[in-house]
Amino acid sequence: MIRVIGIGSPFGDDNVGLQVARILAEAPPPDCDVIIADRPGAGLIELLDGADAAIVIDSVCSGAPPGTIHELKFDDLRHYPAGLVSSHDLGLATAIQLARALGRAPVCGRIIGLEIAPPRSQPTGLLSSHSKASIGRLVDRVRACAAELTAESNV
Amino acid sequence: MQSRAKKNKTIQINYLARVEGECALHIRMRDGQVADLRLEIFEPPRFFEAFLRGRDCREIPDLTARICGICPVAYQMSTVHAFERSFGISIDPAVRALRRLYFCGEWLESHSLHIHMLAAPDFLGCESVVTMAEKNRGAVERGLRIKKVGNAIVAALGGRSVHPVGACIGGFTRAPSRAQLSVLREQLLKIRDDAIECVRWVSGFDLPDLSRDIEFVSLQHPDEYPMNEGRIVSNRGIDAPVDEFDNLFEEHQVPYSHALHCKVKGRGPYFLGPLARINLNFDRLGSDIIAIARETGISWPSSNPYDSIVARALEVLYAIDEAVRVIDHYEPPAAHAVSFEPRAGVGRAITEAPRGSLYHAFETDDRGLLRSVRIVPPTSQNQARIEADLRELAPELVEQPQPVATRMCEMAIRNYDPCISCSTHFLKLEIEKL
Repeated sequence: MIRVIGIGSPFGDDNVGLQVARILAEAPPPDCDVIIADRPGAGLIELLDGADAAIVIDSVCSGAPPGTIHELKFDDLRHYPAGLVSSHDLGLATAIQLARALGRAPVCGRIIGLEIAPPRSQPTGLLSSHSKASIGRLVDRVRACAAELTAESNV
Repeated sequence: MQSRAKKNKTIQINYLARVEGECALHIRMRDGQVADLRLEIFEPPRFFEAFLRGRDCREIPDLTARICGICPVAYQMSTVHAFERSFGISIDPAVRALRRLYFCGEWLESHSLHIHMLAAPDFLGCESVVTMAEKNRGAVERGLRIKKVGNAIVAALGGRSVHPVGACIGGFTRAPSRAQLSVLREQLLKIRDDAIECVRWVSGFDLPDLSRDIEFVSLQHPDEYPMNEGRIVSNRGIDAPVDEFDNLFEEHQVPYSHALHCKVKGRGPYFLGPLARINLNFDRLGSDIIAIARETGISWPSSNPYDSIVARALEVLYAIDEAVRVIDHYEPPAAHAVSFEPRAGVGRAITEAPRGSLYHAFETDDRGLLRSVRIVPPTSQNQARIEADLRELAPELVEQPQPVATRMCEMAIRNYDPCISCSTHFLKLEIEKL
């Protein structure tokens, strides 16, 4: 079973992961559980636990043009500085790294992120036009990724 | 004899890791003496005190809860207590008990995260909790189990664990059933052994000794370990009602920080948080926990800031026992909140946030609209004390290689579990007219 987890918050473009998960939850890809997770923090560790594979969907701010879709493997997070944990809970990368260190994350995992404009330039509460226009592509990308992961696990 | 040159050193930590928010530390030593020391909080001010003015009192608990993602319960509680005192509202005893339960949830969440994810890696020589998990998986799992139960309590009373919304002036927006709380009780009992193990674990760390003459301040209640009610007390003779806060303490600006510094009037820095609470309320922990506290080998009261991690672990255990006690005695209140009429006046309250005493003062007009607001968070109050600790530590730093000195400074700061975002929601603006 592949666990598809959309994370984010109800505010502005941070809502992208939740919206994509809501759409996927209505018609889940084959062999997929879809979870809508509002700011799970350390709770992500538990959401990853027991899955054969996982896809995490979130907004990303990397400086790329808004609307760019990023795809990372969990393995790619090895170079992320996990020391930057704050008392306001764990960030996405640290939570995934910690889940892996605890043996509670599937070996096979992907993060699919949509590049959003820096939060300060957005009106609060609403998706920007860039993000709204990207939701369909993002849903398709997650479906394709789920199909790839299913094929890999069947090989 | 050490050369003069060796006694000069500059320590610059541009971004302090494993604290909440953005701050930096700058220390310059000359001839073995501290020439300059600045804990620079550069996280931008958020102007909460300004934008709350003019708003209706009923909106405020949900807004102040937004000041902090890890201690929203304390912000809600200081807010509702301040208004209730101003408006002459008496809350149902069952609601009062639920508020203690709410606090227990927040202390469990915040303390377990700090102990296991932020502070413990320092003492075990690990770069982060991720590397610590590779060596000590059991401890990290234990921290996560405790935190999860804390989250569940906050969610049960606040509607959700992140930015809860359940508290209101006069009570809660709804009261849980006994059945809902009995589920939490089972979860709490399952983590009690974890909490005892945690106390033993942290008291086995090689904790440096920075014992010194420190003024500790917290609430004190005649019958209870302090959470949401009591008098302000210190180990240097303060014993005053909450309304005296402004007569006891003063805030002042320093040019390099967005958070105001605080000191006891006529004296100096003071120390808030778990270690202060334990030191000043040790006999209110209950006989079981007192026995466990004595087993740690620490001579309580402790004047060593590094014992804060043990104090925090003891409060985790206290929060579990207190939460179970509240649930065992719980009868749903007749009304989840009492109705009230706002009136003109000033209300002040202090509650014990995970990091220490959190002061709120609100002045309202006769419609309940806010005329003035003061919010004094614990991290802001602890800043001067943190700098004092670093000054005392500084002569030792000169002898250390840079990475070791940096780590020593970070550990000294983390004793206070500072929450930088909370401490930067105001900026005093002075306009000089020529």
